[in-house]
Amino acid sequence: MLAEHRHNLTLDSGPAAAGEASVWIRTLAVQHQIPQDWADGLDLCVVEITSNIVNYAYANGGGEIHLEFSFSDPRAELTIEDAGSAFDPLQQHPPTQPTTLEEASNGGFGIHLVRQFADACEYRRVGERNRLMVRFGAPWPHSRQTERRQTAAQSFPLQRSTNAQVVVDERERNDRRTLGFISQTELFQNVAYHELERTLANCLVVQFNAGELILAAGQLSQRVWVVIEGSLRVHFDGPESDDFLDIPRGECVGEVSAADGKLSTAWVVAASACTLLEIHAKTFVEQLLIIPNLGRNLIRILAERMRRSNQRISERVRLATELKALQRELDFATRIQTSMLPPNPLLTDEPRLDCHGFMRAARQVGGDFYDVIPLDSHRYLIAIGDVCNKGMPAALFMAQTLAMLRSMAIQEKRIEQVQLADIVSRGNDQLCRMNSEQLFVSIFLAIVDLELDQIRYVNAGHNPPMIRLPGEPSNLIELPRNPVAGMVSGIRYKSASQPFPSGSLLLLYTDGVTEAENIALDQFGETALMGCFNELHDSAEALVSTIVKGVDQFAQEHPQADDITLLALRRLH
Amino acid sequence: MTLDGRLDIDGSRAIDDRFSFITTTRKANVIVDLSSVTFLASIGIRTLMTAARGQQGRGGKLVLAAAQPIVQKVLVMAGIDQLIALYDSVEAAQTAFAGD
Repeated sequence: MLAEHRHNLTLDSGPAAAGEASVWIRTLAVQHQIPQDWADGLDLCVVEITSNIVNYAYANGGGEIHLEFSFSDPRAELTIEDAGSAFDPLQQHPPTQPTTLEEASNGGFGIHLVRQFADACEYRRVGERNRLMVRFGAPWPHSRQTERRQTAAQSFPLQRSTNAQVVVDERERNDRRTLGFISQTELFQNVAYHELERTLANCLVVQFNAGELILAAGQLSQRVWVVIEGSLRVHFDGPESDDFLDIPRGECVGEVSAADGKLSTAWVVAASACTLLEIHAKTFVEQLLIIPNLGRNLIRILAERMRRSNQRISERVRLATELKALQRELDFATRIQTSMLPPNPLLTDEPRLDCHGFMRAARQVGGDFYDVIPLDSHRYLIAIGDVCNKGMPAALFMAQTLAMLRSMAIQEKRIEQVQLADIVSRGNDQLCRMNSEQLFVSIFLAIVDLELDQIRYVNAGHNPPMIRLPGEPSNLIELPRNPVAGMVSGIRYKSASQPFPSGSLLLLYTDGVTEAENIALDQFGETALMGCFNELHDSAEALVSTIVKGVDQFAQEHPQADDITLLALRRLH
Repeated sequence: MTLDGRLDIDGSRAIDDRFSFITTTRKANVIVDLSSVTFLASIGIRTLMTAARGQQGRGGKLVLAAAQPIVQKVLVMAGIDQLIALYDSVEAAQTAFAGD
């Protein structure tokens, strides 16, 4: 057993105490040929601790400060006692790293420096006294840690985990700065600088650009990264998913994979340009994790991350539940909207007409509609419309439009001379009043009069319907044109009439039919629709079904972009 | 300007008034040569920080140069090097000022 040297000194608290303590420890350091870096560290510790006692413990009056120094190679211990009220300086939070000179605090560095320079610090309240012990060098031999430290200690030249050799410690200012920052990060808090310095000397400082992928799920990373500048994002569903955890400056990633040696389960992306300290998994596990405070810090970080992750999961579950409820409501909406349109077969009580409707929304609910309303024994109101936009807003506006048309149709039933243009003009004014979302609707509205053998119609910005009279070629009903409804009130709509004798065929459609696209983004078009219209069909239903088949064959697998709506009307006799 | 000796309580008290007078009464580029400072305690950090902040308030700049290893280590560990520029030599600091 090597000799142990003990020295004691008692000082009166006062302005000169720190200086006297410093001279005492320097003299002992020379006497015992203590290495220079320990001597400097001991000097710093004794000055800082003594100053604290003078300034705080005995701030209201004098008292004694007892110092004891013991040296037994390879360790030196300094014990300082005061009789002030109980105070554990090690419980003080280290100063947070300010980013500007203005916000930097002047104080709070003393005990932080002690903690960083010494290999161990310990506080005890002994009787009525505060006892602070700082140790430089190896702990007592009976501690298990001794062996670990001996294996962990490194000297140059050393072998990097990548087999590269490091012959001299060539760390530049930036690396030293990195070490300074690292000692203040959560993971390395309260870990003696000496214990880190040797290990971290082997680690790389790496830079990434904003958006750069650092680690992909399924990779075996074998690295731990500590964020020195910038921040990272951990994505769970894919490198570009919206769902991610922020890893701010001072935190680390990869520690779980490094510890269990399994594949990464997430994507790590640089949220901004960032600087990271890269620690090889082997170094992390074999040299860093065994440092007691570091292990405790890591558990705390993981616990915090787990808590955040749990919150995220419960938030996800809540959203999924909400989404399910919305989905259910949307299914209801689809059914309700479908049920708002008159079901096929249409006009079963009218043997003179054969009528068939079709509507297929691009989304769950759509903005297209058609309607067929008997007015009296020989007159029928037919309509087709297309609300701009799709989805729920369009569907609600479509329902408004439909309700308005129907209520007007009921009023008009009693009027002998139907002024169709007036219906549309008033309807437009009404839609303008109800239209907070600035939607608009194109409508083709017609009254089929079986006694006059004609249709009277108004076209408010809608696709021109197709008509074929017996013995004549097919035609588009293009005039007169009017603006779409719902945008500008006060418009006087113009109507016109058109013969509709027995054997006539009328087809109303929306632009979802003519503008249906295939994979090459060609449109089905008016010509192709006219082609279908010109084929001979036994019934309105057959015509509609030919067109739908034609559109579907044309579009193939290309998704339907707009609602597809058709209304075919055949005059039988 | 050049400091020497120990920047502990006594050292800081000894220079505080003169140091802050010289470094902060007018706008200037100040290089504090630390090559002869053998010891830096937290009280000394306060002296340097106060001066640097005062000079910044005047629109000038105070930088540190040529710190000995132990002093450098204290500055880095307290994170001061991230707030006050730290140069390896007075010449390096002069070059940096000339470049500004």
